[in-house]
Amino acid sequence: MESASEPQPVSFDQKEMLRPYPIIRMLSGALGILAGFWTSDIRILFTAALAVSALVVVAGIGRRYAALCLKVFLPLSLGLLLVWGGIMGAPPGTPIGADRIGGLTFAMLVVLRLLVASGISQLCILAIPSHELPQVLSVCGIKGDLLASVVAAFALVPELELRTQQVLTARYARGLSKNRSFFGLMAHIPLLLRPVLTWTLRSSIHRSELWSQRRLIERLEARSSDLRWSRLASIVWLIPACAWFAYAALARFQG
Amino acid sequence: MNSLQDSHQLKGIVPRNVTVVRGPNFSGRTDFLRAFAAAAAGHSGNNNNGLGAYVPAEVYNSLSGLAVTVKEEIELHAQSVACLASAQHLFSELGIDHLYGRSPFTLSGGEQALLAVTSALALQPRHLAVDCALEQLDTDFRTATLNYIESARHADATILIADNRLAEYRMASSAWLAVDMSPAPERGAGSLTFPSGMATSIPKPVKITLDGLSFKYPGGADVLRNVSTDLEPGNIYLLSGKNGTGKSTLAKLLCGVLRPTKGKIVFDNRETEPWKAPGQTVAYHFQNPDLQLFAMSVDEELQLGLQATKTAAQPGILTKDSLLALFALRGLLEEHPLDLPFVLRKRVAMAATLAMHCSWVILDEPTLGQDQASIRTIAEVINLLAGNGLGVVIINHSDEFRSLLAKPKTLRLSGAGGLVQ
Repeated sequence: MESASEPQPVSFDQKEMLRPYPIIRMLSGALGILAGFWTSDIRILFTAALAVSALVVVAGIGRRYAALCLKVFLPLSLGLLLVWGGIMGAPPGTPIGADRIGGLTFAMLVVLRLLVASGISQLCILAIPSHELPQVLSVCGIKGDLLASVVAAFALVPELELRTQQVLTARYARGLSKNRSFFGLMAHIPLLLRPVLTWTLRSSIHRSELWSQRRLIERLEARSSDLRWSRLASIVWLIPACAWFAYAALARFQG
Repeated sequence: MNSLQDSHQLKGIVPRNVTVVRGPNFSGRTDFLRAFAAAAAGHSGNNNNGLGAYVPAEVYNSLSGLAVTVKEEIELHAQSVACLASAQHLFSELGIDHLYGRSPFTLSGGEQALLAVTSALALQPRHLAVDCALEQLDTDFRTATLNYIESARHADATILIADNRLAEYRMASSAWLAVDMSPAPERGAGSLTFPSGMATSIPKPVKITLDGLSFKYPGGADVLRNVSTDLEPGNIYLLSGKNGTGKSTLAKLLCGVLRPTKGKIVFDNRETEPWKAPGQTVAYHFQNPDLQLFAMSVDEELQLGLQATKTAAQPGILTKDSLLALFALRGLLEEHPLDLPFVLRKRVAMAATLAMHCSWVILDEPTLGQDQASIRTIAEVINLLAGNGLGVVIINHSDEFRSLLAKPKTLRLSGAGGLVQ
């Protein structure tokens, strides 16, 4: 580990082909989400949802997206279909029971829009490797303490998940819990809140001390010039986003 | 501690060398190491950027949280390609290259300790302080890590190591030095002392039989394969094996936190399913106390232990009062466990485990962070418990601690996941 006179700096694995300019990434994402909410054609939304799902798989976050779909969108879809297609039997603004198909279509529209928006958000943010996040945000103009806060916020969610699991394990090990079914886990929630919250605050203190002492965020920020952005990837991101946005805007404002 | 002002008062620390910092618990060693690492800021040298790194005993807190894999964690820290190559060489030498693709949070305690030290060294810090993290390493990992630290003693770095297994540091280099910190009892609860004439009230002895026990984590390789053995009550078993061979996993299977993928666990000739009622026959003390403690006060932690097995207060060593006296926790009942220093957190976790009043207790690295006097007391307690019929399994890498235990039997987990007796 003896250092040479001019040590060669470290650079992460370069996947330039997949890396659009950060501004383009965020802009494309914003356009895509807006277009999703402006589109009322269920076939186009369905196609967009399929395309986003495929991209999510290509980006390597398919499993996480699938979990979100199963745990959030599937129950949400069933609930909305039941309410608007079954109970109300009509879309909003229409007399109850007057248009069951319209009610079902409205429910599907809501679900598909949320599906597309969350897929695009995941593509824009979660598909960025965590060690590249400070660099990408830095290029987008988020720097210094604000950068550290934003990165810490992203690090918090997986940590909360992990700590919840740890507290559950500790409760099992200490003979305080036996029921591991879904309902058993639900019953644990009130008992988990305090320890998880306390631990999260402590963890944030440790992490800020570690980051500051080792200057990890500063060093990552400084490495942002090492990252290479791909023009081709930027074009590939921007063109479909612009095209869809233009279509959605025209459809919305020209009736 | 006022940063480096106090540290200069410690004679014997030579810049650009490795120094072993000795001292009893509560001598201010941890504060000193933290201040030492923090004091690096602003001092730029020839080969570093004035960075400091402190590696705590709870190595979990030394992970950046910014990396998805071990490889990324090291890359994140590495000052140069040479540092990366050096870390990679260490992992290859230990035959654990496969860990590079794993999440740092899924590693075993020893592996996390190795990663924490490796990452910190890859920073090429001006000041590096390692606080008891090396105690969690097995002989091979420890030897390789000490040699790595020795080779990393580059021109502008000063390295401090605090550890209670001092004898084992002599092997790394004759150039290394040692300094002593004087005891300051008013700073904390002091070393453990064994109360004389303490009686014991031990739950009903239970014999455990493991029959072809296997386990693998979802999506992972087999951790344990076909483990079969009998564990007789009243004995002390030392569960040994290299870091990452599944010692803690076996402990979690025994206490019922995990369910075996194959095989049977038999309590007193009755096939049982401990995962359906965990923590009733076997109590498990975690290696990292932070993963075990979750109550809002020390008092509550101990009460939870008693509540778990619905034990009525009985005279003896396993009552709350006795445990408080034994682990020197009397004045800390209202404290939040996570506000205490590591040494005390470890003691609270141990006391809470014993308070469960189970027939068996598994202690994972019970001596971690404890000074020599406390280690001797812990050994005495274990000997007393085993002598009265309690079954004890200990996961520990220290030969010195082993020598203090009464007739311990060794169970060694091989790298292939099997048990070698």
